[in-house]
Amino acid sequence: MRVTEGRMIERAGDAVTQSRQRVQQASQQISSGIRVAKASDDPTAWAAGARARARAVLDDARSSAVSRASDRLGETERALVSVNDDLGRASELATQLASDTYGAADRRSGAVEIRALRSSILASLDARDAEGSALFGGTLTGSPPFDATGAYRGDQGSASIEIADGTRVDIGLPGDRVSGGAGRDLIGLLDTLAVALDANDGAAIRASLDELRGSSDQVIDARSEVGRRMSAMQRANDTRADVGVVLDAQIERLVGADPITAATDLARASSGLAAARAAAEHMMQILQS
Amino acid sequence: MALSGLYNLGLGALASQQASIAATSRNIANVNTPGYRRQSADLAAQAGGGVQTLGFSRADDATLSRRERTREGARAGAESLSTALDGLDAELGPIHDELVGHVAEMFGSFGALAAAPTDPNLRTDAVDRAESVASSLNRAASTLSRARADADADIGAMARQATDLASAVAAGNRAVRLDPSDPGLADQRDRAAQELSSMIGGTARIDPDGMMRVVLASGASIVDGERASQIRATPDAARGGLSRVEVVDGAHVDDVTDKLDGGQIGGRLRFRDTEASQALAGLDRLASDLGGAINAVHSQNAGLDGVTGRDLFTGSSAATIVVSAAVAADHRLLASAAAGAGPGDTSGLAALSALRDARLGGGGTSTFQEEAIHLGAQLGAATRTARQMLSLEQGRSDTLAAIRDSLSGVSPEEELTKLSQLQHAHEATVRFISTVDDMLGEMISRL
Repeated sequence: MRVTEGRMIERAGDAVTQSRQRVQQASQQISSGIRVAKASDDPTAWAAGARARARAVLDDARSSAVSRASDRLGETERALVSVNDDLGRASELATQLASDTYGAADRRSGAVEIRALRSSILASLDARDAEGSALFGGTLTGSPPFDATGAYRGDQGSASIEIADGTRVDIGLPGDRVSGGAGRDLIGLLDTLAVALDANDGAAIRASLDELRGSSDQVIDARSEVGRRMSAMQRANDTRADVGVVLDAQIERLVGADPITAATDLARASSGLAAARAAAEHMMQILQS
Repeated sequence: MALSGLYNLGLGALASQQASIAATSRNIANVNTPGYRRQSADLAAQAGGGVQTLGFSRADDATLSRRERTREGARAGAESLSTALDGLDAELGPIHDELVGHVAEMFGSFGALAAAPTDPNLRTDAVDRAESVASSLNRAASTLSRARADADADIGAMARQATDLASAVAAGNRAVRLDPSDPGLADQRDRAAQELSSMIGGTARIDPDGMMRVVLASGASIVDGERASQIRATPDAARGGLSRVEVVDGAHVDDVTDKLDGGQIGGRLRFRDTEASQALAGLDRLASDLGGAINAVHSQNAGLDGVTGRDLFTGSSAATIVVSAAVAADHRLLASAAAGAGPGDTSGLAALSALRDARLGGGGTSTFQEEAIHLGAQLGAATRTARQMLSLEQGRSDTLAAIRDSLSGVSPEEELTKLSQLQHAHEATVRFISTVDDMLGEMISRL
């Protein structure tokens, strides 16, 4: 086919332009470290990268929720520890004063301490989180969960968070799981014990001992429940951290530029550009001669 | 042969050489003129000997030129679409990225709020994330609407250019008819026809009478002999105020908007009415589905004030969707709890979070997240396909241009060689005439 000089110059110019574009593209990948900057670069890889990034965003939000919920459950745990300690002290006092070797004066002093422990337990059950929400009120977080008589005023609901796809964990513990409701009434029990101590009623004091041990078991069960939830959340977070590493690697693989491949592409494109330029110059020399 | 006959023989040769030199000179002068076809002098043997110049002709293949013009329409259409999509992709691509991220963040924020449903900071964050989703949809819709309006303005300007070019082709037909011997006039007409094909596509062919006829894919004729139709863009209420493209021939008006097969106008129309329009429809569907589903859940649940029945979003299209003014002003109204439950309840948030995995997007086929990703990938794929189509069409055009150049292009080297040959021939002719002249002088002196 007859090829005119004009066509040859045009072809040489096109070759140089295309080579320059390839060099520019390869340089951009090396400097940014990104192979797929927008969907049109590689729609399938972009979509997969977007999915992985969305997943990472969701996981971050879950981690944040788990962190907040763990704090809340930690405060719940501390309150329950305090309740349990107070119950332990009450049980100790009751065991000691159940002995008839103690007189009425000793038992009246014991009653004073039991009432102080009752107030302490009531205060623990009115514990609040950093936002001022009652920990043991169920969903009624704005008001004290127990009134002065120890009657539960909250409900049986609870906030819950999603720790993994389809897995939710309650982060609240309704107060009637600790006192009252279907279980033992701690406050009422301490009131009864204080009255027995004031009355110097040894039999009544001894009768309260089993109730106190049962109450303590009730609090321990609640603590176990809280611990189980915290553990589940921790496991979910650990899994998420592992998945996060995989997701980061996946995102990098999908949209990132492999440094070795990018460097090879750049070297190849640079060689191509040099060759195209040399060919164009050679052709111009021939035409000029 | 008489001596006068020999004179005429020499003069005829001189005239033909001068014509050839003129053609070669024009060829060299126009070596870089786009659309110029190599010319040559047409010579013929004279009865009784000698040569005569019949005129000039150009190296042209009518079939090849027609194919090149048709291909140019397809190439220009692909370029017009690709350019418009590249521009849109550059602007809309980052917004799609944001939208995908904001949808994930919004659902994530509902989940995060469940850990402390009364925390004002978390509530503000959740409402802000919802506002970000609405804002991304608004900006995407605005970008698409603006891109469609820009394409519409381009179409108006292109229609005016096409009208001018159609007139130029018709004027070229007239000029060729009046002076068929001037190949430059045919070049000018062909160039105008090529540009007209580039603008509006269709087929431009030379009829047996030598007239260029330009017909669109719809059958509408825009150049018929020396008559050119007007191509105009008319605002059309049925197209939301965007223009329809019409071919106006006297009182006859032909709407060709949906019938153009290429050209820059065809490319822009496809961008405006198909690619950008579908992208906008997809965003509108996402906004409507997402807003509707969230509102259905939100209105059944209660804010911290215990009141139900409120929507989170208002507006049902990508352009109009916003977070309701009441919730935006008071984040306590974000419905996080079940009706009748206390403020610590998170049933509302759980229901909102569950929408993340519900297949309520894309007509019930995908999640909202997937739908947002799909819309971004769809635009990316369309942009990439348009680039590939342009590359393909460019390759086809280049091939045809190379064949045409091989046939009609000017090679300065060839022309200079030809010029040198003509110079030798001219010298020989001058010597021939001089010899005849000497012979004539000798005869006269002997007489």
